[in-house]
Parts: sequence; structure tokens; C-alpha cells
Amino acid sequence: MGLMQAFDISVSGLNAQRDQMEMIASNLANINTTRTIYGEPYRRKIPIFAEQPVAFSTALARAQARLAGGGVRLVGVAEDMTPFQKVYNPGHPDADADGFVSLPNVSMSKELIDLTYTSRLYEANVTVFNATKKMAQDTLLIP
Amino acid sequence: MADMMIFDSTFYNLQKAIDNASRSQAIIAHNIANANTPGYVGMDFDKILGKAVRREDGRGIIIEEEMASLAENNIEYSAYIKLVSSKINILKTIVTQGRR
Repeated sequence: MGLMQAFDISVSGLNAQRDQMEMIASNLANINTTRTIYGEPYRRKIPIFAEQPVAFSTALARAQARLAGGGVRLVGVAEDMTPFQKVYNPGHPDADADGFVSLPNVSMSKELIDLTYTSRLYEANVTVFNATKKMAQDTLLIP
Repeated sequence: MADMMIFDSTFYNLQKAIDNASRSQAIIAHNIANANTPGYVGMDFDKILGKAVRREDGRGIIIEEEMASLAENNIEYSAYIKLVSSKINILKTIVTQGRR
């Protein structure tokens, strides 16, 4: 059933963009965090998305080129392993022996660009959802 | 009138067309949901009908193209629905006016 499936797929897209939003919020909130439970500065979190796997029967139908997949899902959260920014600030309690403080590898401009992109993608999924809804409503108007 | 059919092949074809448009909608939704998925190269229903093709340059999903396909698919769908509706209206007229 194409249309009902399209609703579920759009919802998975909305969830994925919301997860991405959460990561961006976390990264921006921790932009100055020098202490985490691991004892090092905060590392930028990156969501990893994958195409939603489909059930066997669906996969079979899909192989026969008749069905879309099951949308998208969050498969994990990775940490950005790029080096921390070093700032000379000998008065800081987390400064090392040379007086340098490691700050998180979060770049504000990068996060804000991601934020814009994510909200546009969220809107795109809402547009698809509304279009599908209109199609379903039109179907009910057949005399 | 042994070969008279109330629901002719046009009905059958329109039913198929509506079915195809519904599936296209799911595929477009899937492509847009995966716009941010690394390595995902998209599903184009027309291409899939022929054979499974991957984009040569691996550009992934181009959101503008998908939104255009979405608009196109919706218009097609409403057109088919209108055609079915008018076919049914014609039948109604025949059925109700025939006795006069």
C-alpha cells in the first residue's frame, strides 16, 4: 500500500532530522565544556544515518522493483576525532602544564550551517507528508 | 450484449496508474527521508521499472529534483483521480437517465 507507506517514511525522515537537531543542540550547548565524564573536553557528536532495512517479504517485493524502502534511521552517534582547540589561558583550572586549555572541537559556524540544512530537510519531509495526505483525501472524494 | 462491460479497460488502466503514482509517492518520500544518508544514491521509479541503476557520479539525493518529482507525481495523481471520477459520473448518468 503505497500511500500509507509514504506516511511512515516521511515520519522516519522527520525523526532523523529531529535527532540531528538534538546533536546540533548538544554540540552548541557544550561549545565551552572542558570537562566531561571521560576527563577530556567535549567532542563534537555526529549522527550516523542509514537507510531503514525492510522486512524479508518487503525486500523481496523491492527486489522485484515495486516498493520503496522503510525510510531512514539513526544507527549511531560518532565522535569527531579532530584535535581540540588549544587556547593559552594559564589561569584556567583545566589548563595543562604549559598553560594551554583544550577547548571542544566544535565550530559554531559549522553547527549553524548544519542547523539551517537540517531545518530545510525537516520542512521537505513535512511537505511530502502533506502532499501524501492530500492525495489520500482526494482518493476519498471519488464519487 | 454478451460482451458489454460496465467497467472497461480504461478503469483497469486508471487503477494501475493510481497504483503506480502511490508507489512513486512512497519512493519519493524515501528519497527525501534519506537526503542526509551517506552513500544512499536514490531510487527513481521509472529507472527501477527498467533496471536498477546507480547514479554514475554518486551525487546522492538532489533535494530539488526530488521536490520537483513530488509536485509532478501529485498532479498526475489528481489527474487520474479526476478521470476516474468523471468515468463514474458518466456511468451514473447512463444508469439513471436510460429509463427516460
